[in-house]
Amino acid sequence: MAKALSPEQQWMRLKSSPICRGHGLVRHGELVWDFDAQPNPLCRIYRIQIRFKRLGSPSVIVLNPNLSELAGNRHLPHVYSSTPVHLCLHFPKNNEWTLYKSIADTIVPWTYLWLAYFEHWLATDEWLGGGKHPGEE
Amino acid sequence: MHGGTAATLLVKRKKQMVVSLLDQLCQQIEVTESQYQSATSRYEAVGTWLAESTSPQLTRAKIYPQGSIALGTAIKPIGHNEFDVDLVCHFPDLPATSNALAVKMLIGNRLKEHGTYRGMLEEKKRCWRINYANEFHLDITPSISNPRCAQGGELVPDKLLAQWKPTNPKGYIAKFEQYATIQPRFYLAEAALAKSFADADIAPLPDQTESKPLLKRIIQLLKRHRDHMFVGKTREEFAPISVIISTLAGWAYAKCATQQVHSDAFDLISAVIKEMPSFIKVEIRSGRRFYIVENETTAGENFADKWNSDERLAATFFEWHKDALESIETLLSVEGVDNFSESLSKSFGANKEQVRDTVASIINPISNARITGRLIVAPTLGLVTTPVLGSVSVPNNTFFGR
Repeated sequence: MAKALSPEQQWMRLKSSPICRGHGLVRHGELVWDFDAQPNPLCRIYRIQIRFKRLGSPSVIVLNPNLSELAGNRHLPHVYSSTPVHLCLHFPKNNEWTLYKSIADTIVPWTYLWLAYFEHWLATDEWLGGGKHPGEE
Repeated sequence: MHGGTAATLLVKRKKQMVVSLLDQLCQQIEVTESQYQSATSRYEAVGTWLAESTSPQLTRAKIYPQGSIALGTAIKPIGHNEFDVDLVCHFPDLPATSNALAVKMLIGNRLKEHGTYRGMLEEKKRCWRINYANEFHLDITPSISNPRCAQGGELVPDKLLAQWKPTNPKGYIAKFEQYATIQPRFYLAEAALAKSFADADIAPLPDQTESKPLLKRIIQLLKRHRDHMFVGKTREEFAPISVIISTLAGWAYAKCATQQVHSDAFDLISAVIKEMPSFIKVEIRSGRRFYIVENETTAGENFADKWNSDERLAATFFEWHKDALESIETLLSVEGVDNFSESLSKSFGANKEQVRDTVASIINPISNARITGRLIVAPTLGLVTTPVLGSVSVPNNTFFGR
């Protein structure tokens, strides 16, 4: 049986992926990786931080720009918290992400996708990315 | 990827997206095919009614469209539904000595004989208007042949119905279509660079080939910008007229497409708009500026005629032109789909639905590719559907959370 990927192994994969060029390190068992994501050339550039501890669940934070400010008085869709903004990119019970999967190949592309839907939502008030809300499990 | 090349690719891709979105916007604001069909069948019915008259002149008369409906550049008006359908009712046999008022009355009297048209009829200075409430109005202007025009031109009444003045609707349309079909030239080196990164078909973009000739799209955008800039203002009467915009854009497009090579459609659009004023002839007559935008398909029609009796019209044109050029060029520096949407509203008066349907052309191909498992993140470009070096597939996911 495959072994869960360690923060160091995830760090290696993030570092070698061409879609999340950035910088970061593993310190006291926690991986922190910062990179810029632009869903398409018309979108803003977003500074993203991924944090991951051994046997934990990766957290994805948008450091910049301030999404709550951009949203004004609207409620941000599909986030865990809005200060700072933590993105909810997968539904745990579907095993879309597991401890055996590379963050660079799952969480990172989902971040691009979320940001693309976010900008469409900002422009139109429509969230077209689908998804589940707690309680719909 | 080399940093400089990545930046070039990013800008090139952004220009493609902007052009594609402007094309989408035009599809939202233009007169639809079904509206056009409906207008056509209505004016054809009018033509039949006129032809069934007992008047021999009317039986030989022909109704045909002129202006934006004929050119394929018609857009919906802002603030009301009815769009103009400009028609010519041409009397081929009437001599140039005919009385303009009498010829106009031939049409009006016949239309009044029709139970339905009678109630929809409105007399204008030079033409008859048939109002189809909430749809469009047909403006029917009488015309006779111009024996002095070697290009098959016609004569239409002046505002006072005192005399005839030269025009050439059919000749103008033919010349315009000729310009519109010119294929622009783009740098092969740029195209090759793009190809090497599989840029040529890295959709998702709705439709890379514009749905209409570029010249017609440019004119629709310019007219829309004009309509928005002058809507409801006391200055409305100073808005540059469509035929001046179309004529200058046609000449500028012909020049830019044949004599220049551009990097891409965005650069071409901006070059065309920039060139437009250079085709306005300015002469000094009795110490004053005299503006000429001539109808090249007949002698003696100056589209800028009114500018010479009211200089403010010329000034307003230049003011509008500067704003239109800026509005298009600054789209390239806008960051964020929301800011782009706002620019479309501010510069082109796009309403909420039009903005939504325009920017949907960015997100819908992404959603479709996501469903079919073809969605990819490419370095520099972001979400695309054609794999390039270093690209990563987007696996299935379900967004979660509040």
